[in-house]
Amino acid sequence: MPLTSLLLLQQVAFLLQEGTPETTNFMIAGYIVFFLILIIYLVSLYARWRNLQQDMKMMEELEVRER
Amino acid sequence: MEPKPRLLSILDIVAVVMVLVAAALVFFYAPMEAIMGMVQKVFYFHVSAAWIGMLSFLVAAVAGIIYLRTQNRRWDIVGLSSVEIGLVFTFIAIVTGSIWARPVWNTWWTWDPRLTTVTIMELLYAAYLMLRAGIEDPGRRARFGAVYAIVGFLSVPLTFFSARLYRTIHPVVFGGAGGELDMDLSPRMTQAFMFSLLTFTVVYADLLWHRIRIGRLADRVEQLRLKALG
Repeated sequence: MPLTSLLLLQQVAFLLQEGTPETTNFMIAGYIVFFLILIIYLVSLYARWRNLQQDMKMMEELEVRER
Repeated sequence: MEPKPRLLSILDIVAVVMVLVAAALVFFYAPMEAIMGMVQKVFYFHVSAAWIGMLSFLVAAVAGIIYLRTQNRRWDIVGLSSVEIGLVFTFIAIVTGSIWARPVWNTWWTWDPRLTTVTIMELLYAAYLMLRAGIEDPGRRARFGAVYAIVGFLSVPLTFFSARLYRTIHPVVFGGAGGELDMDLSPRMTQAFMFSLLTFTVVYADLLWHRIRIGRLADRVEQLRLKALG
């Protein structure tokens, strides 16, 4: 019998015995992780943008001074 | 530096609203799955993140091809930006998948074909960024990046089809070969899932545009720096 069919049978048997399992905490953890990683990435984009703008300003000032 | 385009500001707002609506659909509209419980709802954002990962790497490969043909630096920036976003979303998919797996498979990780191939794909593209950082000449770096993105893309269909070609416990969403577990979605689940996919595609477009702007600014700063050094 394929592995996935066995797994499904096992889950149905568990459901008949125990009812729907309580897995809300894992769902919450999953979404916290998602938003956390996304926010960290957005913050890194903003920080890079700000740093580059400062570098650009500095380079433009240097260029003006050299002229 | 050119000011932020108005269309990009609108896209920012649209992306945020769509993410909030998608989350609301997942938590309040889509029903709870009877066998797995609430953890099944991780699936909506998990699959959508994986979709963006693969889309990003496809865009990077196409950008690589166009760069090699045109030698236009803009396509190198598009490729680099897309790979970076792809890495982030593939990582999200891996971690959320692991969180889903713990109560369902009773393990955080298994060396299943899908999990193994997605990890290889992630590491391949992480290496892309690291290797690029080691090349100083912008032209060489762009050529290397283009070729790497094209060749690296071979890992994407391998990852996608791994759950269909090999014996795996990873669910197949869009219909698999006989004997594989398909995720039977109710109409509400399907609606929430499709909206999540659309939302993530819009988020990708938004992030890509922002990341390209950063790339162009970095390019200009580098050119000024090289000019100053003579």
